[in-house]
Amino acid sequence: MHILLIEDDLLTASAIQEVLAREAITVEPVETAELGVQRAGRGDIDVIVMDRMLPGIDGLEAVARLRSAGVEKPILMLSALGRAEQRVEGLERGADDYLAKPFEPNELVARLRALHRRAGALANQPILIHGDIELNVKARTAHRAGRHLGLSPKEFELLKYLMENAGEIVTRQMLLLHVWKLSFDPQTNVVDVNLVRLRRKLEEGAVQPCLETVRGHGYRLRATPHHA
Amino acid sequence: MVRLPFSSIATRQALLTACLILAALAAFGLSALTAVRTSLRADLLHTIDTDIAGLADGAARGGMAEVKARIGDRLAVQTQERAAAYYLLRDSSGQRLAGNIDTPPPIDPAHSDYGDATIGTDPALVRATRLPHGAVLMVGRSLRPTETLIASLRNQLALLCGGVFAAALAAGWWTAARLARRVAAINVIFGRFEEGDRAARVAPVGQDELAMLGEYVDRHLAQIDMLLAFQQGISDNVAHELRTPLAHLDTRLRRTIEQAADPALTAELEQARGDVRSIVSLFDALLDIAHGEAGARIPRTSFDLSELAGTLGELYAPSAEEAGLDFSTRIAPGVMMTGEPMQVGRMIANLLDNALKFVPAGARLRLSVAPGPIIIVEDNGPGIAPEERELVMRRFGRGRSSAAGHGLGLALARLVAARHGLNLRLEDAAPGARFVIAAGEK
Repeated sequence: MHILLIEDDLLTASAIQEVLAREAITVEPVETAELGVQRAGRGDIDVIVMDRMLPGIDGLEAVARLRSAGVEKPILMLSALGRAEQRVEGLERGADDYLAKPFEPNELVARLRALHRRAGALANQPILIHGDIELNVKARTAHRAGRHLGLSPKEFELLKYLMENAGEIVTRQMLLLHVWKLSFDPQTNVVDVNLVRLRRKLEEGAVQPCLETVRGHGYRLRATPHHA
Repeated sequence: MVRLPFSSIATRQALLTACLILAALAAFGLSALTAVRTSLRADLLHTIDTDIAGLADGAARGGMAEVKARIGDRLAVQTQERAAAYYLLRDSSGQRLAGNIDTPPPIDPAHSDYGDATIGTDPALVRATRLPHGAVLMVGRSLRPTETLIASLRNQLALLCGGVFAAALAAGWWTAARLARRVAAINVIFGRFEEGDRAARVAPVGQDELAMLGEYVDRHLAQIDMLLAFQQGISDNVAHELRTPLAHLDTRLRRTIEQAADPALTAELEQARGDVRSIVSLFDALLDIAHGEAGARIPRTSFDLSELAGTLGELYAPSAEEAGLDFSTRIAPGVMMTGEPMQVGRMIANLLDNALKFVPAGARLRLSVAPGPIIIVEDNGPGIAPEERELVMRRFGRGRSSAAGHGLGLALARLVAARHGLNLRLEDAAPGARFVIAAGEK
């Protein structure tokens, strides 16, 4: 994956580069929106990461310019303005995702991968298979190793989202947004409790665990395809 | 806003003016009618008195025979044009000698009195007087022509009053409607501004008082717009200036953790990162409150509250069960409301978070939504003591327990409710606490 990073704060930019380098994601940093818009126009980029408050043209305006210039690449907006209203504003103006500073490096990686995958149109398959878990999207049924899983509608959505992002970390915020369509963080651990439930159903009588908790970051459907 | 008929100032003014004109015209007309009638009766009495003088003169010259003859002459020349004449001549014994009055009216001849009488079916003015040798003479004139004239004048006056009243009302209503339209146009601008159209202006045409009012309104709206933009700019800058060093601090802590070999140190540094996160979340909540109190705009989009509450119910059900609460929802389907769905969602989530933190295991917890909209989160736990109810709703107020959280949840929920034209109030569920979000007074 190749990222265009538009960020004027050098410490943040270097921290992002460091984190992404470990994930084998290459980063091309620029410091102003003008340079970013020019660079994005030349193509060859998978995801654009853009700060919101930039010198000169600000991030919201730059997103609008990119979109009107026909750049369809996913944009993740990064900002020190992190209130719920400001997130909604960023998404309404054409960003695909919005992450407030300070952020967990893993949150950034997870979201970049999700954006990249979505752009690659892996979704909308009628049947999702991961290891011994099989999900029939149309019939809304789930099986593990041939055993029917009695999931509630939301648990089904939860498992579907995890399977679409199998092998990758998905964070609580990502789950809230995509499964429950909520763009704010509850003050209690409600998401975790839902995941614990789902795990109990997934792993009941199963040979090995498949849903792991990545401490402090989120969850991951383990990439262990022990039979294809 | 629902308006009652005649609630408009302009309409009421039009009605009042028309009524005043009507009253003045009616008073003038009635007093004129009275004057005309008085004058006509005086004329009639004068005619009667002249007649009596002529007959008395006859009595002096030729006695009763002459009076009889003259009465006979006068009755013979009655015409249609003049008011009918009535006579009665009696001798001292009460015997009728001449005239056309059959039943004498009770008018005293001793003082030459006069008065109204009915002769046959005709209303008349009659004077009675004494002649020599105890004879009595009564002379009258019919009041019918006078009464007919007065009645006709009265009818014309009534028609005139009706016409003038209708015309005044129509003119008043037209003026009132024009005035009401112009005032309503100004009110519409206020409404649009309130709903977030910060560019809404009256842009008045003309020079009158309403145009001046419009100009003042525009000037003040521009000022409010500027202040709101200024306030927003400041809070954005403050947010940026504070969050950036916090983000740097977090990055440096993380880098140090990556290089630290000592697990005790790592744990300490992880704690420090947790502190950074708490500061950021407290700061966001404070900014949210500041924004809400400054009346920042809420998009007026309509959304399905039932669906949102249902989603939150599903999200919170496992946690509530885990906390040992008997959790249920009672959500009326298809309840719509206007506003910002995520803010309303967070408001409900804050109430549920609050319940998870404070309601003890074994209690019942219920989220209900009814048309209105009315949102209720209630439990049958120990409840909140009356003296603590106001405290828990305030910023940083926490009541007796000191569970996790920055203590802004309920203050924020109350603010979000207010921004949607609703009220958050805390009631005694006897036992337990009931948080009600609904329209209406506090």
